[in-house]
Parts: sequence; structure tokens; C-alpha cells
Amino acid sequence: MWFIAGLIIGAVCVGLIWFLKIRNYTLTWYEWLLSFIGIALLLFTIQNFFASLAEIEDQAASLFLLVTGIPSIIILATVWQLSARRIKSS
Amino acid sequence: MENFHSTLSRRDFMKALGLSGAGIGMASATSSVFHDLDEVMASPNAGFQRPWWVKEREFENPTCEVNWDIIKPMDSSKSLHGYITTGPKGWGTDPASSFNQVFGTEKIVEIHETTNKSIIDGVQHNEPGWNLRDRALDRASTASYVKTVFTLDENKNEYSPEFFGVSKWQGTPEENSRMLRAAARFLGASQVQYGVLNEKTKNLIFNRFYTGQPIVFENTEKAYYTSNKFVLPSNKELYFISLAIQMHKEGFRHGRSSIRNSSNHSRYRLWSQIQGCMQVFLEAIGYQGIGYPMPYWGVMPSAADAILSGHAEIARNKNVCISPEYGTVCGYFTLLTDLPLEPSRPVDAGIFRFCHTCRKCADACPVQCISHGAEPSWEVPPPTTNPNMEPVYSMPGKKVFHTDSSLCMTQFNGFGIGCGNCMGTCVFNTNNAAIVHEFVKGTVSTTGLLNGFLWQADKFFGYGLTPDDEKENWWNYSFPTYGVDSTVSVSNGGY
Repeated sequence: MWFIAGLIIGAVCVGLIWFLKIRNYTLTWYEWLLSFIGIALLLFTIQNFFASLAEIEDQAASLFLLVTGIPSIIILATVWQLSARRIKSS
Repeated sequence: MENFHSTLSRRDFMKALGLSGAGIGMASATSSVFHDLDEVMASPNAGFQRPWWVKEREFENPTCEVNWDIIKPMDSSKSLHGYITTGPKGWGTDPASSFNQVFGTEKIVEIHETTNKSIIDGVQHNEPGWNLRDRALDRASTASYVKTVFTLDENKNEYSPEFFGVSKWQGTPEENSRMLRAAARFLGASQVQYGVLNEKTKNLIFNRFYTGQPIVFENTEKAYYTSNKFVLPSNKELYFISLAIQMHKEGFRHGRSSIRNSSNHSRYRLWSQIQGCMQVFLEAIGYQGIGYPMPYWGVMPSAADAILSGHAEIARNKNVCISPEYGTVCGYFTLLTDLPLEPSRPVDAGIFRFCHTCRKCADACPVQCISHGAEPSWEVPPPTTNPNMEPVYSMPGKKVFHTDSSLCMTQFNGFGIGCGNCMGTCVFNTNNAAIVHEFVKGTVSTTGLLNGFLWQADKFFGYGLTPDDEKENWWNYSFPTYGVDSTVSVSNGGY
């Protein structure tokens, strides 16, 4: 499963960087930093979610989605909007 | 920067949040049915889940063709194993044996002589795969017949160094420790640590066995026992081998139940076999293995040995110890030996420090026998059930949180299935799949500042005892052999 997840994540990252290069967009250092944090938190959420289900800890699995999953989405959405607004205004 | 004011409107933010939440909700709704991608493709039943490329066939129709009209009940004594252990000239020489009819007595005797010579030559010439310790492991692997004894019967020492005409195994203490760990894990132990019996740790040897016979030291080469005493040699250095046998965590989360009791008893069943195997291994390399005279009781406290040799730290319940690898759900047993070993040190993984803050086991105890105190103490209070009695069942000399063992025994012995709520609910009784547990353990070991938060988080996330209405699910789960993860601390083999 993690092999497939790694392929997907790699493809998405390559795709994003290609997209930024094609459009000549750049990200600020804090946007990069927030991106890494958001992606790390998202991967942490996914791993703990599935692993908690495997451990027969259903409540823990659900709470990982809430406690770490939603913040990761918020962080990534914030990066997206920060960069989009900045690029648009420039 | 010129513009700090965000141009993201509240409407857009809430829209993004809602879309994200919907996405997560869809994922969780989907995932509650399919736990992972494998399960998407496999049967939803918790049975023997096989890879997708294994196809099932009709009953009595394997991939090799079978003619059921020809197959009849067979005389098993006519198989090549029939009458194999009998005969005037030993193994396979019984004329009634098919093996004997195939080869003839003369050839079989020749095979025996060749085999024995190969084995003896291998040991005498230290050949790889045939040397003394290889043969010792082979011998130990067949030792399940050995009943639980203090020391092995001296008459059963075939395959000892004397039998092969070689000196006993010689290695450095480090080499011996490594060798013994490899053998012990192969024979069924989860992990092994070592200690030496010095002027301090000798005080942990009981002066009487649990049935009352004295345990004494005498100037003797080998340990021995009579009906009246157990004797340890005083004129040589002895080491203790602390063997861990992990138990079924999910079973212990059942608290007071027969499945938890089964999980607990399993370690004694395994130990009764492992001890015999270890004693034979040690004897076969020329050393003593001094064990439990009976499966449940030894000559020194195994939990103390586990803590001193670095398996675990003591818990808030002073009758329990907690391993960084196996948590609370692990049993420990002690063998004594004169094989020189490299002692291992006690460890600090922040566990006992965590117990200063956490009271999860104390809260879970049905008779409240575990201290809720903030600090451990040197005192050993009398039992609640009989305040006039001296607590002779507890040796002072350690600063721990007090557990009223007499009250605990009302649960341990009172229901016929024991208790174990404290062990099952413990924060450290978690499995190994979710990486959050490594983050927690690493944090607990590094600093105690977050202990209170982590204790509460453990409860918030729902870790702990299994509710009664979920206990029957155990029969539908697919757990590893013996219900434990035997790959813990494994480095080789790609398991």
C-alpha cells in the first residue's frame, strides 16, 4: 500500500513543481515550509488512520482524521490561497 | 511586507473548509468498510485471507488429479516410518519395517555409522553447521519431552561435549550472550537479557522455594536438588538469564475474562517447553541450566531480574513491569547458568517517570489496590484485608508505588479467571502499527513535561480495555501465531 502511496505522492509533487515551473510561479520560503508541514501532517494522519484500524482502535482512527487530518488540510489550503492570492495580485 | 491584510474572505475560507471536511468524511465512510487496499479486494470475513492470485477449487479436487475409486485406507505401519524406532540393532533394523525391507539391516547399520561419524567429526573438527553449538541447538529443538526440572538428569547427557570428546564451548561473554540470544529466540523466547549473581543480586535468590524447601549455596561443582533442598554452587560465578515471553495484548485488553486468562497462561505453557530446551542447549555446550522446579515458580523473582537486566522498568503497580518493546503484556522467567555472559544494564525509557503522572491502571483497578499517590515510597504497608499482619509476602528495599497485593489477590484468585485490568488498560499496552506510538515513546523518554497531556490523550483516543459488547469479536479476528508480534526487535530476514 505504501508503495502505491509513495508513487501517488511522488507524482503529485512532480506535477506541482512542473506546474509552478511552467507558469513561472514561485513560492515564498514560508509557503514551502507550511507545505512540508502540511504534507507531513497529512501523511502522519493517513498512516495512523489505517494503522489504528488495523490495531482495532476505531475511535483512535476517527480521531486522527479530526485532530491531525483537518489541521493538515487547513494548512495546505492556507498555502494554496496565500500563494494564489499573491501570484494573482502580482 | 506591504499587505498583511488577508484577501481570503470568510465565505471562501468556510467553503474550502467544508469541501475538505466533506472529502475527509467520504474517506472515513469508505474506510470503515475497507481497512486497507488489500481488504478491498479480499473477503470481508476475518478468516484466512489469501493473496488474490490464490484461487480456490472444488472440494476433493486438488491441482494433482486424484482417483478416489483407487484410494483406500493404508496400513501406516508399512510407511517408511513404520516400526522405525524398533529393531535388534537399533533404529530401522526391525524386519517388519518397510525401511528395513528397502535397505536391509546391513545397509542401515552402515548408514547409522556414517551418520554418527559425520556428526562426531563435525563437532570434533568444528565444521560450519556441524559444530558443538549447532548440534546443541538441534538437540534442544527435540527437547520438548523434558519436564520442568531444577536441573537435568545427569544420565541424559548424550550429545554433551564429553560424549563428543571435545572441551566445552569457549567464547567471550559477549559472544556467549549473542549465541544464547539467538538460540533462545529460536526456541521460543521473545527476548533475552542477562545479569550476574554478585553480592547484591544474590540477595534476590529466595532462601526457600514456594513449597518450603530451603535454597542454599554449597561448595559443589553442579547445582542439584533433593526432596529437602535446592542447592546452588557457591564456588563458581553464576549468571541469570532473564527470558521475556510476550503475551497477547488484545487478550489482556479484555480485562477479567477467560480470553485474558488464556493470554496469561500461555506464557507458562511456552515456558515449560522453552526452559527444557534451554537447559538441554546449555548442557550440550557444556554448561548448567538451572531452572524452575515447577512451571510457575522459580528461585528468584523474575520481574526483578527483568528490571535489573534492562528488559523493563517497574510500573505504578509494583507487581508489573513495562517493557519499551512489549509494554505491560509480557512475562519474564529466569534461568541460572555458569556460562560466562555479558550482563545487560537497567534501562530508562521514561516509563517509571510517566507512571508518576499517569494513574490509568489505578483508575481501572476494580478494588482500588494500586496507589494513586504522586510519589513512590520505601514503605510496605500491611494488607488492607488484615492490617495486623506483617506484609511478609513483600520484600522492602525498593522505592515504588504501593500496591495492596492482598486486595489484588481477591481479584486474581477470586473469579477463577484472574483480573489484569491494570495491564490491559496501560498506556504502554499498544500495538506497533501506528507510528504515533513511537512518537509518544520517544517523547516520554526524552521529557516528562507532556506526560499529563499524553495520559489524557490516551484516554481521549479510546485506548484501553475492550467493552463487554465487543469481546465476542475476538473470535473473528486474524491475529499472528501465539497472538503476538514476533518481529519486534528483529533485524534480519526481512520479516
